[in-house]
Amino acid sequence: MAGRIARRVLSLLSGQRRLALAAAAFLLAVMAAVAPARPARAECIFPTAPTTYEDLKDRSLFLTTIELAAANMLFPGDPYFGIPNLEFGPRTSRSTQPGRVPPTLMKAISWIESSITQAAVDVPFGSIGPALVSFDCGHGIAQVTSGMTVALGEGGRASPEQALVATHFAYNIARGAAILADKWNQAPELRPVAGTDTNGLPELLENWYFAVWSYNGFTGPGANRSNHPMDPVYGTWPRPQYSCGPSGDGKGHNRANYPYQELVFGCIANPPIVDGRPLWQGIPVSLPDLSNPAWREPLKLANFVFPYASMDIPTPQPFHLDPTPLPDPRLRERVLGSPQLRVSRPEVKLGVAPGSGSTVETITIENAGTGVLAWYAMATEPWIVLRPYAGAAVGPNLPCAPQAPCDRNGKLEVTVDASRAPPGRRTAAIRIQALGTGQSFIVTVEVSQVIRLGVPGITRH
Amino acid sequence: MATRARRPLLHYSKAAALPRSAPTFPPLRLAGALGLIFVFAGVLLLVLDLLRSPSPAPVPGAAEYLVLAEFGPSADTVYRVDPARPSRRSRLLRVPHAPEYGMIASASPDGRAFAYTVLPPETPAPAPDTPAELWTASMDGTAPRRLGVAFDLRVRPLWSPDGSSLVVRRSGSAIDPPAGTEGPYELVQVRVPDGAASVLARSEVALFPAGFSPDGRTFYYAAVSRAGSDLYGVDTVALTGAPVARLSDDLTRDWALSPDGSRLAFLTLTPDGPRSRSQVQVLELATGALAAVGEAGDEFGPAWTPSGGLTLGALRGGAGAVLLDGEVLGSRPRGFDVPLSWSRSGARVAARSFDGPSATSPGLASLVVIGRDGQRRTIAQGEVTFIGWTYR
Repeated sequence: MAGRIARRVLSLLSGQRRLALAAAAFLLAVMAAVAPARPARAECIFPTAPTTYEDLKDRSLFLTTIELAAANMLFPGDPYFGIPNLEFGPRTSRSTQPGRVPPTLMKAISWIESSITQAAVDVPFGSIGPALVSFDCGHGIAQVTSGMTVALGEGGRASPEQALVATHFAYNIARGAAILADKWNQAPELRPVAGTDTNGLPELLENWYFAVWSYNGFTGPGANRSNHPMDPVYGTWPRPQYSCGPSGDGKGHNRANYPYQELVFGCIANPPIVDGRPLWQGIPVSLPDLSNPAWREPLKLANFVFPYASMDIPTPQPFHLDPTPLPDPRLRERVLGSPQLRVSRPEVKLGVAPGSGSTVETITIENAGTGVLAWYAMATEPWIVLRPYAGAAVGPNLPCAPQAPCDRNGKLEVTVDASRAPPGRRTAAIRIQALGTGQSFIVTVEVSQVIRLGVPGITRH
Repeated sequence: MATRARRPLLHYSKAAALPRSAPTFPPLRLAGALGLIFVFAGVLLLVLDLLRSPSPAPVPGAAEYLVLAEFGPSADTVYRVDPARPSRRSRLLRVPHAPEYGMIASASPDGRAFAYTVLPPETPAPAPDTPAELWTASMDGTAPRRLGVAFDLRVRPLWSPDGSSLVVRRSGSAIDPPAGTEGPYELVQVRVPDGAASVLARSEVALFPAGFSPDGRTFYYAAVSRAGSDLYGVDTVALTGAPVARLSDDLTRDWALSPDGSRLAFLTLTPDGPRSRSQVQVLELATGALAAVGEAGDEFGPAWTPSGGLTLGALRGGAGAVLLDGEVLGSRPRGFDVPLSWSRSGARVAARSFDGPSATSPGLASLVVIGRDGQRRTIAQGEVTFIGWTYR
């Protein structure tokens, strides 16, 4: 077919135009051959990013979710998605209190990490598409990287928890808050303490300095991703305060020039403006005063030695509390919804030609309820191939922007790995779960051998 | 995906310069009238410009222009600016980049080209250590060329004295480091004509380009680690390296090699009674002698004049001054300046100016030019980055 088309095109061209076309094709080929290759992206746990829901541009749903997660009102007590108790007190005498993260801190981190978006860059607001996955396997809003670089599920697949992080914004945010709390709790055994003069209380935004530093990697002077405030990699000294606000506010906006914790603290103080409105009320968080030995001495090179016990600092002054009130508990229902799993067919029949290929069948997964249904499929036999095996089915209550891609249903493609399938007629099963709801559905798979596969386009090796 | 209100390009509204009593014209001659109005406005602007505070004295020979980049959320714009008339900008190039991560650029010694590292716009969830691309472009904004990929975004490209090559850094995932290490780091010399690359130095600790000897034969770099800062030299022909001197037991930064290659100035933080201060120190490469320059207060931005004079910004008692070989070149009662680079003629120095009281509260930044007579002229405000000087 392609050859016939090519011949038809060439027959319409004059000799000179053919020569020009050939020259252009040759030039393109040469350019492609000599152009330096892009570096390969790190392998992450999903062969292709699963689908997810992206909020509308105002981020109101995601911001509400962040407030719930910060208050540990989403999944309290859950070992993976809940916030643990937070430690406080002097280095040698620690106590704990119920875990809560300052919500504005979590919002700023989410903005810095992903502009508070769950889906890939080219997925419009208010639509459904592939999840955001970064170069280093950070996933979604909170760019969860910890535990997302190695598949932890059966058969080398992502685990259900990992699938939730990638497909469901609420679980992603909750996991990010839990990780931030874990970073906090790494002090004093593995990290320094901020707030030696204020009992290290987590209510003070400034006391999160080292935890925020750790969220992006507690790396020090000279490291490739150093977040040390005095590292020479950060351009000329000094530098103005970072801002997430408009470019014309007179402050810094080039993220390349700031360590991570200064990006976050600057963003807390100077929130992003979306459609003319700031996403939160700015709080003028203080950074350590590096001209004052009380902060400069702990941060000097000689002290950057694990477990960093000499890096403890007093609370940067003046300190601030987060004035955001606790969210209404009823918002949890609005955020999570009530997903209802509905699967299009209870059985599929596949034909396989041994050593050759297999037919392909598609199962539609629908959310007949509300919210995001994070689906996850597993087969009982290793020669059943599911592609993808996780995704999101979105309920009708979550808005899609006009003309934005909004296929609310999940599509599960089922084939057989002909090189591994045993001979003869076989029966297997696929279990489709709605993660976090306890719902599941079993699809029966009947596989039979065929001599020749059918029409081109539905066969696959 | 995140949108930002773009700061409008700085431009001068010529219509605003007209007096309110400007005469009107019959409709039939409107087009010609508008043309006359613009001509009149242009002449008026020229007169007003000339009547302003005097600009640095003109220097015979090639005219000198600043090249700067104005940051934008998704693209930076490179301009050529006449320091005598900052409102006159020529747009050279628009450089798209990953959201919120601008380019890091430097100008060639002859001012005919500039090089920059940048994260491409399509970079998913960009981060500071995402491998960047290296590009070069001519000062007329034409023909940007990509020289290579997988370099460190934040390490400014360093030009060889003859402009034939650049030194950039590569690290982390771009190199495939040994297990358990954060590096290694490589300083790579990239030939401008064809992008051919050769490794000048490799280490487990972070490396930063410092400068070339005037003949380009020796390349100097700083190695910074938890053990302190050290200076090394590499023979760029034999590709052999050796330590030169210990700079500090702590962090150093903003290294500047003198034009004759005999001295290295840099910044370090040192204790000063109840506080720490940013201090300029100078290393004599031949002897290894290390000496502090100033006595008190904070110092910033060591920069060499073409004839080998040392300029720095000083902040003492809340008042700022620019010093040239210890003498006050210019002062201000509030805020402070960070010298960046002298023009080839030595007539003026570009500096970053802050209006705040200290390095930890620097306030708002702007780009200024300071002449030998101490006269200051604001070139641009907000987030602009000085790339270098060009000449026409």
